[in-house]
Amino acid sequence: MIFAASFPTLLGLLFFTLLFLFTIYSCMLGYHWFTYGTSVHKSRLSLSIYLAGAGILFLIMGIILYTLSIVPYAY
Amino acid sequence: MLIEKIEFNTDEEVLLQAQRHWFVLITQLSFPFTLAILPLIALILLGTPLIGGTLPIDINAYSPTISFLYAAWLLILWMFAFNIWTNHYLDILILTNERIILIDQKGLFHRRVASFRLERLQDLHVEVDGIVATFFDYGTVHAETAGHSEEEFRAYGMPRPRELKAEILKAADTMIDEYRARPRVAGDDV
Repeated sequence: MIFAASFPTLLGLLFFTLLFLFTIYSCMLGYHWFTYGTSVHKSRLSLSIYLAGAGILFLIMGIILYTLSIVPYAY
Repeated sequence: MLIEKIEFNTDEEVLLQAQRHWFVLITQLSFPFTLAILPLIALILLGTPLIGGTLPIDINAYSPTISFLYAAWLLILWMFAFNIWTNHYLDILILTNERIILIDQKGLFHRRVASFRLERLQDLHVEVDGIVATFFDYGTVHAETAGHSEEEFRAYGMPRPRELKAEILKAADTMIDEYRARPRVAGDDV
């Protein structure tokens, strides 16, 4: 039960670790696309799609995390 | 952008730029896509009593956690997929009227830029290997250069390789013709 109760905390840790890694990774990708890419338009489009997709996934994870923090598990 | 970073000579002009064929990208992206649907298939199979995969726990009770972990898995694969896209997007072959520049993005912060002058071109051949490559018309362009190191340049997954070869040979011939037609100064051809 202790493990189950600590689930939202573990997931929260995972969420913020992923957010941190994602931010660094986005900067690295953006640097490569805008420095060595062949077209500004293509680089912008790539970044937009990348951020939009990741944004949706972070939103889903955030909503689940928020729900788990306010609704306790019924094990 | 890339073109501003390459130092061209004053009378050097870009004849063509070629990137890998889109089907090569699709093939590489199929790996993270398969990894993305794998947990779903596993979950369906484990939850199907007919296969004998009944789980000892109630999955429904853990559905928020499973959804969270699946979204996290998708995010990691999303980042991986864009790493593949980066390698595809930044791999480029540039043909100018004087040289060939081959940029190979091997990974983040790992680039290989090779170039050779067209007069050093010794042998150029294309290789279209397999039904899919023949159907979608892509292949590998090998260029061997003259020199003590006998370097070989290889551009993999290039679209329309025969046309690319023809363009390179045409540019090389033009350059050699211009070189021959140049007025010679005494003592130049030692």
